Amino acid sequence: MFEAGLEALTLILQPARLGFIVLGTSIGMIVGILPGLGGAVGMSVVLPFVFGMDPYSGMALLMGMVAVIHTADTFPSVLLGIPGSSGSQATIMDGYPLAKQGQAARALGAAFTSSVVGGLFGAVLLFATVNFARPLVLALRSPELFMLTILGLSMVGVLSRGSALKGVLAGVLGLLLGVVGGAPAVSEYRFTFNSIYLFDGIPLPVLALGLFALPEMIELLIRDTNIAGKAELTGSRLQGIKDAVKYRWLIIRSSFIGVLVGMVPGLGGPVVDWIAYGIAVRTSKNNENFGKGDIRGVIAPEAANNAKECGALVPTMLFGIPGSSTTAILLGGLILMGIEAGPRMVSTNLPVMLTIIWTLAIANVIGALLCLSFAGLVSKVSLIPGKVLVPFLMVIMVVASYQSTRHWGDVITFLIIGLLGWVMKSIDWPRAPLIIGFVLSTPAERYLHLSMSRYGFSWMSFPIVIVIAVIVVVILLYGTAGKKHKKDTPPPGGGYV
Amino acid sequence: MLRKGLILVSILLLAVSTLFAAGGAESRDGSADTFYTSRDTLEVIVSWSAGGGTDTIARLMAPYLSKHIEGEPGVQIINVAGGGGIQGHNEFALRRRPDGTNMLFSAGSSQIAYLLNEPGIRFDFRDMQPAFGVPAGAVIYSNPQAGVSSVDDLLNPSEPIRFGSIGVASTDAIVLLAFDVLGLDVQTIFGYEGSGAIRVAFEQGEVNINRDGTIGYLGNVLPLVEDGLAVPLFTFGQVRDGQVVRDPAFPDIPTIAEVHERLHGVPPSGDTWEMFKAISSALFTLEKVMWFQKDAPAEAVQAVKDAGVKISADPEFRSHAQSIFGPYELIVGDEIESAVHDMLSALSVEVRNEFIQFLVDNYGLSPRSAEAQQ
Repeated sequence: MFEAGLEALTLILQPARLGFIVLGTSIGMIVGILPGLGGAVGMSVVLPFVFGMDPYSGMALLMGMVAVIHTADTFPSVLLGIPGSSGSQATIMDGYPLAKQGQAARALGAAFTSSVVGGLFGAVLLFATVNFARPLVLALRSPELFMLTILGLSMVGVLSRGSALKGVLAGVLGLLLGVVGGAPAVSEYRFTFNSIYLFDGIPLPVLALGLFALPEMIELLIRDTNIAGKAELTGSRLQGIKDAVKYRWLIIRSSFIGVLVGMVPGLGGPVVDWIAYGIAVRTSKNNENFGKGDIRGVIAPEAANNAKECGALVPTMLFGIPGSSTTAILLGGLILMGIEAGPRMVSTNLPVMLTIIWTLAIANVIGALLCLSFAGLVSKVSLIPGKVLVPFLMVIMVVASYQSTRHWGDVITFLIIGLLGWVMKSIDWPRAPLIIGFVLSTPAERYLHLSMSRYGFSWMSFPIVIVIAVIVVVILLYGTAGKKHKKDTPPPGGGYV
Repeated sequence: MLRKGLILVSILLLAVSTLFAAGGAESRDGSADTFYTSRDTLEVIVSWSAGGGTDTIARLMAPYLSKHIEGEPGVQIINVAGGGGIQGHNEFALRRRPDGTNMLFSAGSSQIAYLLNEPGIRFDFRDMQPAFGVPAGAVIYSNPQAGVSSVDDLLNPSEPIRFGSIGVASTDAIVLLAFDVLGLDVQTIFGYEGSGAIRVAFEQGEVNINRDGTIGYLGNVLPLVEDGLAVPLFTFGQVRDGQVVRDPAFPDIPTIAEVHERLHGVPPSGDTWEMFKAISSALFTLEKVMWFQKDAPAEAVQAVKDAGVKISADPEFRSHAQSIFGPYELIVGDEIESAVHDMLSALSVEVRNEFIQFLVDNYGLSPRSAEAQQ
């Protein structure tokens, strides 16, 4: 295996292929920086050029881009409070407050360091597990997957700071919004009001942009100032890197979570940053500063979302199940180069698989270095007056949400969700549970339906199901009863979920 | 710092220009002696996101189209995803001008949506004309460790036969019809996310009979067959002149007709069988079709039809296509005209209503009529 790994490295170290990695990385950077543009956009730009390339070069180009999107998307998340892609929403929670305190460069330094470590850790873990990942995935049948969605949903309790009730209600609202569109099991469309736009449900990028970005823009205009709120910046990239070194175990832990969540097919890839964030809050000492600019709140999600891209390659490459729109395009790219994802990726096509892992590692390093070198300069964005910045950002956001499906419905949805986000922000309701509920709504319904129609009630006695159920109960008790309530008013209903 | 900045800006500009390089559609002037000129751009709507099966095949064909259409126009793939393919088809039918610069690439999943008259459909294949078609195949295979190890077990399996499906209003519908043709007792579990997820469920034994297209079968199932974890049972074959013949991609696997004869002693016949053949030809024998609107200029249609014939004979294309959609011949020239005509006449409103009724009665499809277009 190690020999094969070295061989793959020599394949990828040819100048032309390295060139493709750099090109892919550069495009990935741009796509990541522009708010709302996710990996899918970058992929579709590059896909036509992959045609006719040899698999190693083509994968260098595609994977180079995939690897750095979640590094570069940190810029808008930290500097503007706008999710750069759906994978960096949780970074906003503490990254943006840090930028508001003038510490943008520090937050970015910590974020990029965590990203590169997360990416490298993920690549190593993927290399180590690629040979026995298939049985791991095959152990998860529909009932186990259903329980994992429930585990994800239980994070709602952890993420609703202050009032558990508000958090649960926001989560339920998310579940409801996730119901819009085609039902997973029967041939019915729900709440679509005969608009084809809604047949596929509300697009996640539009929801995330509306929920987080629009309220920030409104607030920025109301405050009539720049983001940093003052004329000078404190905190440096170096300080951020030191922070990351200080919290190295948090990085490793979050990367591990990222890889694991990424490996589970058809589940919460888009919420991995929230899960890592929630666990960081719950397991850290002195956690009262989370949400107000705790550097650990930047480190955890950034490590996790880069590591997730590595984990996500398991269902994508070994089973041909795309975990996201990005990996779906990756599969198309593979086919164009004459390779079909599947069991052969760890036998006949092992060299391709290994070059993919190497590309991931190399691109992560290049991407982080590029981002770090610009972090100081770019963090000055937070000194631009809101009056100047907001109109520009509004245009970018509307275009970004429009390109999601190129339907005018995107713009309308963006504005409606934005209004909802603004109201929730104003009355101090947590928005993270809504996103989690939204993302997990369809998988929860799907896997419950599959479990019931295949196993009746007998699935409830499966060993893994019971283990996960116990974990969920522990999280619910620990996440609510064990919480110190900082607010003056106790949560209604005693705070129990 | 400034130099670094300049480098980044130039990288940015480079990437952005690649972004837009392919986008410049020009209006055609039509003064040349061929219908298209190299300044024209022919846009092909693909109703699914980039990277899917149909998109991949369209992107494979685009450079060959450009090369073989007289006048060598640019050919660009436009992804208009949404509504399970309906959105892009509607856009083509309602909003794209029939001036020869717009084409549509349909596929099995939009063709079944049309057959079942799914909500939201505003297009009609009868208002279009075909330029060429791409066939595909389907293999039904079983999990020998979960009760079905050969065709002979189908009528008396040691475990219930379970089939996983994404939903009734999908190309899975014809698989359900195939089970009915063979008189099998199959429990269908609806709600899987896609063919990849169903393959995993199959390996787990959660379901024990499955269907895959040619490419999915060759890439993902053949390794399982080699390891004894899956057994091919039958193919849907290809419908040629009303007869089901063996799939050229799987000359060693019997067709559904042969399996019927083996199980029941007689070849299949009757209304259900005729319905199966009509729908099978619409979903597999013509799995993907390149269309113009009915009112598109005849010269344009002819140019693309001619290109189809040349592409089909291009050795470079043939070697490429082999790995992407298997050893099938494109359906080109006059053949596509008659194939589409046969398909649409075989799929009369009565046949479609009968098919809808079958799915409503047995599989909970919401009742509707094939007639009520618009």
